[in-house]
Amino acid sequence: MKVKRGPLYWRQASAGLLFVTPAVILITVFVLGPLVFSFYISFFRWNMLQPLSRAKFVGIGNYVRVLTDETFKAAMWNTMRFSVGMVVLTLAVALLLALALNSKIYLRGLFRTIYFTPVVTSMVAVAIVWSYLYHPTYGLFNDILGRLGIKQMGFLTSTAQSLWSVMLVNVWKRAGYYMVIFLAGLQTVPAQLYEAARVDGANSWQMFRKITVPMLRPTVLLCVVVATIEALQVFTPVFVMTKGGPADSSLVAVLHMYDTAFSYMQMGRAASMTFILFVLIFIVTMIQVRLMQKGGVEAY
Amino acid sequence: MNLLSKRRHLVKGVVFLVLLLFSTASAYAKTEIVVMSHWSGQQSDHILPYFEEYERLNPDVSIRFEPVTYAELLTRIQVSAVSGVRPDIYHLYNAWLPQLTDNEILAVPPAEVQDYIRENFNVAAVEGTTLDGIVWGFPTEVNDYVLVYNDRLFKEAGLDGPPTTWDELREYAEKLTKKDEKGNVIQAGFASWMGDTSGVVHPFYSLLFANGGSILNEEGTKAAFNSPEGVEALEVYQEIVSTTALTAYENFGSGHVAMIVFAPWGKLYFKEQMGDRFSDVKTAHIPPGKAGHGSVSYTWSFVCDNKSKNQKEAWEFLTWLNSVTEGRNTSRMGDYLADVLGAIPSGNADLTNHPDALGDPFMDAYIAALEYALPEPMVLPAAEINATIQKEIESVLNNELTPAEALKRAESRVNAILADY
Repeated sequence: MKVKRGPLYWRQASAGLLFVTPAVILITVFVLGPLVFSFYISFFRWNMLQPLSRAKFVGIGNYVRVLTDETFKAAMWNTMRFSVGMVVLTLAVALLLALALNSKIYLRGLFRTIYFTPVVTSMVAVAIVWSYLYHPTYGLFNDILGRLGIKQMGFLTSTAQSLWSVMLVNVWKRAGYYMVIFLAGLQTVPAQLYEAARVDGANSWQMFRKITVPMLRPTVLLCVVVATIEALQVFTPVFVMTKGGPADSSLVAVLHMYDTAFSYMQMGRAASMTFILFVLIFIVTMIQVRLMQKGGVEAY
Repeated sequence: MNLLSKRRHLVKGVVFLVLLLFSTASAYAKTEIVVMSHWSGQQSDHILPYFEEYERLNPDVSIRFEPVTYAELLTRIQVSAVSGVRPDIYHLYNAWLPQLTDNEILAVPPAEVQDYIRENFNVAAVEGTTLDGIVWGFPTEVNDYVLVYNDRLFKEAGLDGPPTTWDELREYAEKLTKKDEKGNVIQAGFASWMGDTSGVVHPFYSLLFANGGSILNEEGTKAAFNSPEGVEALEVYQEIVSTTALTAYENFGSGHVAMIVFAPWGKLYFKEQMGDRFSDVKTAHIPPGKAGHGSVSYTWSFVCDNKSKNQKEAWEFLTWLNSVTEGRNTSRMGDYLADVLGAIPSGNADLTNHPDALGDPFMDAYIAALEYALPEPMVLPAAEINATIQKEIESVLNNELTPAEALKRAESRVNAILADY
C-alpha cells in the first residue's frame, strides 16, 4: 500500500535536508568539485599558472606518459612496499599493545595515554625530530650502535634504508591509533568464552588462537583496509625527512604527484597520477572487502 | 567624580581616539611592498636594515620581507600566483625565468629600468637576466663553483696545496679520507651536498664543462651530457666521494670534510659555523679537464610580479637598493652581497669598489672562475631536468649505477621531458 506523503512528512524531510545541507555543500565544494575538475584536467596539458583557456587537450596522453614513466613506476613500487611493511608492522605492534593493555596491569591508563600520544602529535614535528635521531653522524641511533660496536648506518642517507627508516616513523606514530581500535574490539569478546576455555584446560596461546583471533577478525580486517588506504597515500614524513631521496629510493606516489604539479608545473600529468592511484586504492580495497566476505564477515 | 573631572576624562578619551584613528589611517595609507626571497636566517638578518633605512626615507612605504627556503621558493611563487596573494617582488633563480615569463607571472620592467640595468651591471649578469630581449629584473648575486678546501686537514695529511689535476683530485680525496676501527668514514676527502639539487648537480656540471662536455644541445632540445666527456666527469665525481653520509653543507664547517665544490655564498655560513677556524678555509680552481678549467655559473635577480598594484613603488625601491647614489661608490645591494654574503655582486661599481671583500683570498678563485664559467641552460623544464639528473647522480654516488648507466637513463628521461615542450 502506497504511503501518502503529507505535510508532516515534508516538514520532517525538509528539516533533515536543512541539517545535511551545510555538509553537502562542503563536500561538493571541497571534495566532489575538485575531484571532477581533477579528472577533467587530467586530459589536458596545463599548469595552474595559466588560464584554463590555454590548456592543451592531450586525451589520454598524460596517462600514457605516466604509465611509461620510470620515475612513476619506481614511486608506485616504493609505495606498495611501504604500504605492505607499514600495515603489517603497525597492526602487529598495535595488537600486541592492545593485548597487553587489555589485561589488568598497573598504571594501565597511563600506558594507554603514552602509546596514544604520538597519534596526536604533529607529523611534521615528529618527522623533524626523527631526522635528528637518524642523523648519520650526530644522531642518537648511530651513537647507540657505535657504543654497541656496530657500524654506523646511513638511515635516511642510504638508498637501502631510507624507505624503511621513514616507515618506522609512521609505525611509531600510528600504532597507538589502531591500538585503541583493537582495544575496543577486544572488549567486545565475551569474557565467558575465556572462562569456558580455561575450564576446558586451554592455555593463553590456545585462547588467543581459538577465541581472540576469530572474534577480532572484523576489527582486524577493518584496520587492514584503513591502514592500507592511509599507507598508499603517505606524504608528510617522506616530504620532511628525505624528499624522496636519495636517488628516489624513498620516493612515493603522492610526493611524485606533488613534485609534478608544483615543482615541474605539470598539473594535468599530476591529475592523471591521482586517478591512477585512486584506481589502485579502489582495486586493493575491493580485494580486501572480498577477502572479508570470504572470511565470514557478513557486515562487509 | 565631579562634572569637571568627567569632562577631563571625556576630552582625554576623545583625543586618544582621534590619535588612534589617525595612526591607523596613516598605517593604512602606507604602501606595503612584499619581498619574497630565499635569504633566510642569518642571511635575512643582514638585509633587513636596508629595508628599514628605505622605510625611514620613505615614510609612506613599508616593506615586508618573506623569507622562504630555496627548496620551497618556486612552489611558493606558484602557489602565491594561483591564490592571488602575491608578493610584489620575488628574488628569482634565473633558471626559472623561462617558466615564469611563459606563464606571465613577471612584470616587464619599465624601459628606463631596463636601460639602467644594461648600463650599470656586468654583461654576464645582464645576459643571465635577459630573455626574449627583455631584462627582467635587477641581477643580484653571480655564483660560480670552485674547489673549497680545509688547509689544516691538508697539512695534517702532508699535502702542500690543492690538487691541480684530476688524478691528484682522486689521490687527495683518498688520502684525506679517514675511517674509524669499524670502517665508518669519520673524515671525507670530498663530499657532495646530497639531497640538494644544485649541491649535487653543479659540481658535476663544472667537471663536465672542464672536460669539454655540454648539458644540452645548442637548441636546448636534447640532452648532450651522455657523452664520453660526461661519463668521465661522473666517474671522477664518483671516485672522489667516499661516503654520502657526510655532506658538503653540514660537515665541511665541522671539519669532517676536506674538500667540496661550492658557490661563494657559502662563505657567510661557513664563517659563522667555523668561527676562527675559517682561516683554514682556502679556495682554488677545480682541477682542469680535457678542455681546461670548468665551472658552472648562475644568477639571481629581483623581479616584480605582473599583478602587483605597487609596481611603480617596487621598481623605485629596487632601483634605490641597487643604485650607486651621491656620496657612495657602491650600492647597498652590492655591500650586502660582497661584504656580508660573500657573493659576487653584479653591479659594475660594486665589482670595482669592494676591494676588501672581493680581494679577499677566499674570493680570488671565484672571481677568476667567472672568466671561464658557463651558465646553466635556460629552458622551460630546467627545474625538472636538474632534479632528474640529480637523482641519477645520487644513484652513482650510492654505487647503485655506473656512471654510464646513470647518464644513459638520465638522457632518456631528460629527452622525454624536453619532448613535452
